[in-house]
Amino acid sequence: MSVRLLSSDSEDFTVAKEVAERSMLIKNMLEDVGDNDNPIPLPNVTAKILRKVIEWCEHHLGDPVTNDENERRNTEIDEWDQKFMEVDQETLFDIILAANYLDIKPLLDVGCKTVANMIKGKTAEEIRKIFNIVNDLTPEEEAQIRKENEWAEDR
Amino acid sequence: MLTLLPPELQCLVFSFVDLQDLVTLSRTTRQISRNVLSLFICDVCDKTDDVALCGPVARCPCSINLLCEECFPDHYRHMYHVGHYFGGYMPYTLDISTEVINGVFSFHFECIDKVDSDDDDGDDGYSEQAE
Repeated sequence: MSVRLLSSDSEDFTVAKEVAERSMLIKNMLEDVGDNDNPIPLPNVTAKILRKVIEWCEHHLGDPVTNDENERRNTEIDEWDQKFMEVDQETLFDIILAANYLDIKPLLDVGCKTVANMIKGKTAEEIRKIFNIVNDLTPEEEAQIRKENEWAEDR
Repeated sequence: MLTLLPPELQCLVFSFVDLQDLVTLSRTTRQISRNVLSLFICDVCDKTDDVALCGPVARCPCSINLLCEECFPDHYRHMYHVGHYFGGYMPYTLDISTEVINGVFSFHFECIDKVDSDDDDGDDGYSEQAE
C-alpha cells in the first residue's frame, strides 16, 4: 500500500505507507482520513527536503523504536547517518525543521546531534564563524556572563 | 543558521553538548545565552533561577549535578549524613547557611548536634567555601 505526499512546491511523491508512517504527523493524518488517493499536503516541506526525509525513512524503516534515554542521549552517529548529514548548513537545518514538523524524532535527534558535534570543543568565536552568527553581546555583557558561569569553567 | 532554529530546537541541540560547551555557547549571542541558561535546571525541584553546581555536590554519587540555592542545603546535609562527601557516616545535625555569589555556592555549616559526642555544644566551628 502506498500514500501520496505533496511538498510545499507542489511535487507529488508516492511512498510506501510504512515509510510515510515513520512520521507521526502523517501516521495520525492517515488514521484520521482513512485510505484514499488524495495526496497529503505538507506545506512546510519543500520537495528537496522531502526527498531527503523519505530517503532517511526508507533506510531506517526496520529500526526498532527505542525508549532508552541513555541510548538517545548518545551523541555517536552511525556511519550511514553521518554521510546522510554531509550537506550544506541550510539543508541540515531544513532537515531538522522538517523532522520536527513531521514528528520524526530519531531523524530530529540525528540532525541535532550533527549540529551539536559541530559545536563541541569550539570557542565562542569559532561557533559564531561556523554558523555565521553576529556577536550582539557588549563587552560588559560578555564579562557578566563569564562571571556568572565561572562555576562551570574547567570541569 | 543556528539562531534561525526556534528556541525549543536550539535547546534540543544544546542538550547534546556538555557543560563546558554550554558555557561557551552562552558567550556567543544574547538569544543563545538566554536559551542556554534555561537549560540549567535544578535536579531536585526543576527551578531555573539561582542554579549552580558546587564541588562537593558534584562528587556526590546521587546523580545530582545542578542545584538551586534552596535545594542545596538539604542535599549537602544528606551528603554529609550518608558520608558521600566525607567517606563515612557522620551522625551530625547541620545548620547550613548558603548563598550564591557569582554562580558559585558559598556556604557555612555548623554541627549543632552530634550523636555520642562528649562535646555538648556540638559546634566544631567548621566552615567551608565551595570551590
